[in-house]
Amino acid sequence: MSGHDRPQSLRERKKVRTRLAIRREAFRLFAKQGYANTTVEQIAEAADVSPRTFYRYFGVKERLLISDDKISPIVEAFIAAPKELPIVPAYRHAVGTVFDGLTQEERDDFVAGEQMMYAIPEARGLVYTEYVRLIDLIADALTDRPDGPTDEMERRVVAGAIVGVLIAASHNNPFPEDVLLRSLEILGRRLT
Amino acid sequence: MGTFPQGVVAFMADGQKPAHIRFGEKSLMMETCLVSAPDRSSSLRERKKTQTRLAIRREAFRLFETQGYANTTIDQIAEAAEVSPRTFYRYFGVKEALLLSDDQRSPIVEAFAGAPRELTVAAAYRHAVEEVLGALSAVERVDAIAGQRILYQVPEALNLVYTEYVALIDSIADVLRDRLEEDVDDLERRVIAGAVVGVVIAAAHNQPLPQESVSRALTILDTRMS
Repeated sequence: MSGHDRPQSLRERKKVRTRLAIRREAFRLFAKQGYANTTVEQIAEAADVSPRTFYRYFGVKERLLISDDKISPIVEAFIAAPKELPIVPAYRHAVGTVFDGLTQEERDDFVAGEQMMYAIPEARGLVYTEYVRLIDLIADALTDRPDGPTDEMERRVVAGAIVGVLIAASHNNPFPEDVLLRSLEILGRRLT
Repeated sequence: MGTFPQGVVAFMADGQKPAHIRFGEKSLMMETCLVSAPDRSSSLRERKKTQTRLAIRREAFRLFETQGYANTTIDQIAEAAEVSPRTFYRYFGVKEALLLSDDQRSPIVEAFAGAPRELTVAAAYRHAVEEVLGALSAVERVDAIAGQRILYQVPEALNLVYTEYVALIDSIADVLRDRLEEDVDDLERRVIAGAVVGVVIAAAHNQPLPQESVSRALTILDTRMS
């Protein structure tokens, strides 16, 4: 999800497009011949870029599976959410803002990425690692929220509850926006 | 989740399908919960089985640590544990199954279902964690700690960790059908289950035996959640 930072320059827009093209071709190849059997060279060739370009954009093949910036724009929007919103509604607001800002192309990429994630077992460990990272980021961001708990353990608990709800709503759900927002609304009512 | 997610089955598919489908349905204990079930077995035969299981895991972890998970074969593990490869397969089915140590339906989920009715969700789950982890024998404790350490080192294990947490959300949501009033709908049950599991993840990640931090975290959740 890279909708939050709307690319400004032509150069930026081109970068986003190259990224999306590489992921699109990679997903096509994964679906056709399997993740493990697909090499970086094949992906680069299909996307009309050099392997070097591939590595510049993604580093390793596994990185393809995590849609770029899926996390940080939401955390940024969470910190910037209206101060009067309590924690969970502020997070819900952030999710809504970032989803709304996606272009159709980014939305398609996101859906394809989510589908891949659940089809490729190697991706699950990454998903887990990303969720753990998100707990850290939210716990950190809570120090910037007016009603963020002062105790570190409390911040981790609140962050954990939010992320657990994200997992529950997102798993095997290619485009979980609606369920996600409804789930966060419920959590907002139950968690103070 | 009654069936194991397709991807993981594919990942583990080396002709062992039935074993890990069974393994998936058992909704293995996670993290805090990823420890052997307390030995409630009465018979000598049952105790022997538990000992064999623990011995295989112990030797496997030792080999994983010295030569890496991917480089360790089932034959090597069986030899080190002084059992036949056939016995190994009977106990674990696939190598990946070593990383998760449950051998019955998650005792924590069962203890959660059986926790006193008057307890809130978070308090009941905490009660279950304490009951099950508190009942571990010294040997099981050592096994659990070794298992946890391996879990965070082996990339293949993290795939399972994620899968099992998702299964845990499903199991808890299922139990909540009985623990909560009837007007609480499916989505709301999933939200509550998700919050509990998220808090467990936050407290358990990278902790060798996270009983204490999970208990504390669930106490905090309990004061904040209605």
